[in-house]
Amino acid sequence: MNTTVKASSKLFVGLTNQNQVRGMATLKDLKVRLGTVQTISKLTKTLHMVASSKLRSAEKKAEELGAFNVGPSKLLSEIKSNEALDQLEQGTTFAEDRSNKQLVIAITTDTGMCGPVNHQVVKACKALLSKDTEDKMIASTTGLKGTAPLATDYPKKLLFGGRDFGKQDYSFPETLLFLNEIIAKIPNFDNAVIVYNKFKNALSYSVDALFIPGFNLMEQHRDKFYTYQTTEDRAATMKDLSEFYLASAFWASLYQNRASEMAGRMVSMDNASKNGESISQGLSLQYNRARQAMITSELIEITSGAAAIEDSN
Amino acid sequence: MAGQFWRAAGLTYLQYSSMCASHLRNALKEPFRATANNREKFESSVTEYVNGKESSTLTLDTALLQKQLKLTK
Amino acid sequence: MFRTVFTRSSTLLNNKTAFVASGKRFYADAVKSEDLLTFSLVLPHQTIYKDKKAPLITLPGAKGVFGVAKDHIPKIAELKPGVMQINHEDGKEEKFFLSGGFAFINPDNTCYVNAIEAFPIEQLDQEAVKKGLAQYTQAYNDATEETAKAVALIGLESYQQMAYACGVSV
Repeated sequence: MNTTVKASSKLFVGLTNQNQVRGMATLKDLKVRLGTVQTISKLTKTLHMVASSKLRSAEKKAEELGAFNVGPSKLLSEIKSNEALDQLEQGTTFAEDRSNKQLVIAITTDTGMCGPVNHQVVKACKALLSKDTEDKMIASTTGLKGTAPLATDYPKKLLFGGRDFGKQDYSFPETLLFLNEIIAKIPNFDNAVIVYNKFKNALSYSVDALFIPGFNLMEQHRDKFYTYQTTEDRAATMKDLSEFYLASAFWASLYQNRASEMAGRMVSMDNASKNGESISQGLSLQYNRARQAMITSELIEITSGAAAIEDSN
Repeated sequence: MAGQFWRAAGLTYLQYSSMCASHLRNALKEPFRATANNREKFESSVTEYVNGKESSTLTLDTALLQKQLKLTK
Repeated sequence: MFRTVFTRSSTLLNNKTAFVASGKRFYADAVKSEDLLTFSLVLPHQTIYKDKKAPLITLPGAKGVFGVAKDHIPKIAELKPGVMQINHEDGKEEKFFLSGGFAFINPDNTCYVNAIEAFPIEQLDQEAVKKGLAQYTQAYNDATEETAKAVALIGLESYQQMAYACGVSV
């Protein structure tokens, strides 16, 4: 047998034993890690597909069901601020007792991994709440991702946190029950602001706020409705309309936000899948190298063993 | 709707309209009733917070809708 | 043949005299497209009609049924549980039972009917309506406290209207 091989094999004998043990452990670890990463990649790829198909239906619904808000918003969306109410002198008699309360309703989800969707809404709400020096704002959320941050930073301003809201799909009866909890607590709201993500396309959605005037504020803007007749008690109709508009605007914003959430999840899952793939590739490479090193050391063992036998012979 | 009786009794328009909607869904023939009742298949909760801490939780589901109607059928 | 019901103001201010004069005229002459109302009937979960053209619709307002045709004066109407009738271009009548909502008739001649629930009246179950009517009549008579009475009356009014709509005697 070649003397070089014999010599070098004698060098490696001691080492290969250690390496073999270490090599086996590393190889096993690598295989396990590779398996884990591949499973997660499969999962994120599946979730990406799911989000992608959910996005298509969410987009469609946002367009169709947003129609429910067209009628009321056509009439009321011109009222954009509380100015008319705030400018009034003390001692003004209002249509109903002025509560001096402003509702902030944050559309947030329970689960994450949907891009900046929740972060954007929470950030916007915090900006609003930080300016509320007169303690007029009362916030509520539709999902856990909004509740915790607001409870931490603005504990005195948080009223309700929703959970599992619209989990399978949004339901208007559920919406009425949810909003009623808020309205029952604050029936004479000055106005309400709904903070949500407005959907443009799969890659573009941004925070928007819908302003809903309360009854007193609507009365201050009576001139806008001057041309409109109501056969019933006008004040009662407008009072009911302010609640109705809150519901219809909230409904429209839910679907806009869901479409944005699905778009965010798609990108998030896509990124996770890509990351998973590159980690997986790196691990594969490592694994193959480790495997080759093991084979090489085994070969060396065999040849050195054979050389030892030959020598003894 | 002058001084609506339900508002005087402490109900909101959202409650009133929710009840009227429930009554209509409950009075339909099959299979339309089953399809309409799909809209009642939700189960979520609303938790009231006091000073940043959870205070009380209300479950929103079809049972609550029927309870609103205050009639044990 | 149908009875048109208009609010006083709409008949006074509506200057489409040919239209106002008699309901019978609709079906005798061909209705011109310009004489049609454009309306939408939207529910939260579904749009039934979007920008649909029809000669006339009647809605269940707070003080009774009222009709809406083209050039109706602007109006915000809160709707009570009741029947919405659509008189289509081809002469057919279509009736929906609405649980309530709002109707907006705008100066630009668009009309949005927002209802929370709406079903063709044929989908009402007479037995269920009869039963509900009896239950809520009883509940209303039994109730003493204000909220209970209000809740019972909401049920009673809803079932009464459904009874009228599907031919159950009240």
